[in-house]
Amino acid sequence: MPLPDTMFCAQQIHIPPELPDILKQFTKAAIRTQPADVLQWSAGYFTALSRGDPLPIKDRLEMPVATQKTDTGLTPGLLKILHKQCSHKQVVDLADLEQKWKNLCLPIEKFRAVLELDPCKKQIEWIKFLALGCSTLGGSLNTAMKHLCEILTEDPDGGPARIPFETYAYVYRYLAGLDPDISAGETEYYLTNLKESIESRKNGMIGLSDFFFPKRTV
Amino acid sequence: MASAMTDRTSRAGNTYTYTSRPRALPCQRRRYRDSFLQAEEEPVHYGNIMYDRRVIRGNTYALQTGQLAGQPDPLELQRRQQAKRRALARKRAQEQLRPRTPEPVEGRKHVDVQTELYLEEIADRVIEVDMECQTDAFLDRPATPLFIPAKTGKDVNTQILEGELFDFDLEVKPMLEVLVGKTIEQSLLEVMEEEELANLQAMQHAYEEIRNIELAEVQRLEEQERRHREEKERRKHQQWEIVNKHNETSQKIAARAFAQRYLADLLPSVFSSLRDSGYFYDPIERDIEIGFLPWLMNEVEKTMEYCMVGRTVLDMLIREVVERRLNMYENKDKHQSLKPEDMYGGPGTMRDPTVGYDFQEQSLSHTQRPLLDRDDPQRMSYGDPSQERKYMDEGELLGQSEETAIRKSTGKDELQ
Repeated sequence: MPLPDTMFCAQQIHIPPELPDILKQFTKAAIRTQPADVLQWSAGYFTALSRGDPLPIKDRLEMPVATQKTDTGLTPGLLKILHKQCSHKQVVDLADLEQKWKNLCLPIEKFRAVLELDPCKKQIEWIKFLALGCSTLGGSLNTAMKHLCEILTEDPDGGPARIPFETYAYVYRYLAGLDPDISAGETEYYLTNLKESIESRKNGMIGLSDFFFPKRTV
Repeated sequence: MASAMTDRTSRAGNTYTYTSRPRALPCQRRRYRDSFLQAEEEPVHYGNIMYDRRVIRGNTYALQTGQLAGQPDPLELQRRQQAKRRALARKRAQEQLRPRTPEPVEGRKHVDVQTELYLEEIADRVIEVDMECQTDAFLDRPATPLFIPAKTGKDVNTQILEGELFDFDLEVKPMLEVLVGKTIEQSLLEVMEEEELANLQAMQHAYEEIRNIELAEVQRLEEQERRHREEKERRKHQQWEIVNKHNETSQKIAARAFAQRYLADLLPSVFSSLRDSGYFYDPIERDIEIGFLPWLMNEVEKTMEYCMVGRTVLDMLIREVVERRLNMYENKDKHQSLKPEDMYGGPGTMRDPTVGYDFQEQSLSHTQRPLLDRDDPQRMSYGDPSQERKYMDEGELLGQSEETAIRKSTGKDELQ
């Protein structure tokens, strides 16, 4: 009903019925994502919402770690957001990716630094970018693979983060290939060993417990 | 009622009677609503039934029937009289206390007169009038008329231009406050809730994961343990079997050795016993023993019998001859006959057949040579067993040494 020309009392003010819901979702997303620049992020959020793309929101509230080793603000949660947004395509445009990166209020220099690890022109395979992102997160190759598993898995949080072995092998080879210290032979040997150990499971999935042994604090 | 009371008390009767003057029963229904002008009713003597003397209390089968045949109880009488006296006294006292109007003067009389403004007819009869009234059927209470207060004050008019009454920003402010504030508050709450739930879930999953891993580890260790144990069992079993076999074997060996030693003598003893029983015999010897010797004995016996017969015949001959000779001698003392010639002839004839037999014997077999060889040295032995003595007795008369020698040899054979 269009607003009458003259309003006489407060009761005549009409609030669209969808508005509260939108507001609530937006607020919750904002609280969960904790963007550094709310405006920027909100623009990204609403653009994605209007287009029907996956939204740049974190699923879980991620407490910012006190000492960021990487000092980029890049966290597994943010990577997961990016993954959510881009995983439906195998190859992403760099411009698009850059825009998304900006929407998350991440420093753009870091973006370039990540890309420098594996230079490419206009497009990049999404999985490779993800792998590079993971490697900038943690120290060693193992921790990078751990983050990757956690991001890619469909298992619930805290559960065995399982991903198909082929994916794992592909990413491992790629990252090991980029690292000049590790030889191809070592990589293959490691991968064959791992494959044997998970043969018994018959579903071709590799989980965290198979390659990552966290230090248990007793 | 007062009259009724007096009736009751006046009767100091033996029987209890109650009479009352017929009186109009007062109508229980109140005729008038609030009748201030109603005459004072006669007081109705209500009594508590519990304390009514007319009601018999207690058991009815042991009642005091009271004075039968009108015999007054003296105690009861006295009490009644006393009560009467007391009542009278009380009444007199009250009368004395009550102020009364003075007595009328001589020749005058007191008369009751009404002194109020309006005279009243005092009569016992109550004026009764019947009145009727009826309401309309099912009439509802009519609605309250709208209260329209009376008009007070003065009339004034004014004009409102657009935008004067209503300021959007002002009006919308509380709405916005509620909207935004509530939204934020609600979303914060929800986020915290979700966060908590998600945390719990994550912890649960992590725990489950650890538990699964540990379970797998436990199973693996259990499996290993089981395998070890089985292996140990098997080895032990094997070892035990080996030891058993060893024992058995050693026992067997010991048993065999012992048996061997025990039965070592068996063979010789068996053989010796068999030999003793005569199972091992020289067939020739046996043959000789079985076949030859009995035959020999038979022959010897026969020969002996012949000898005996011959000797007997000889004896008979000799006897006959001797008898004849004796007879002849007795008959003819002169004839000294040729007796010794017959004597020598007889044995000689006897000897030949025996010698013939001897040679027959020699011709039978070579083995009997040693017999003959043996005969020669034994001819001289006279001090021999009694059998020879017997034969000797028979041949004593003739001095037939050769005959006896042959007999000795044959006897020896027999003995052997």
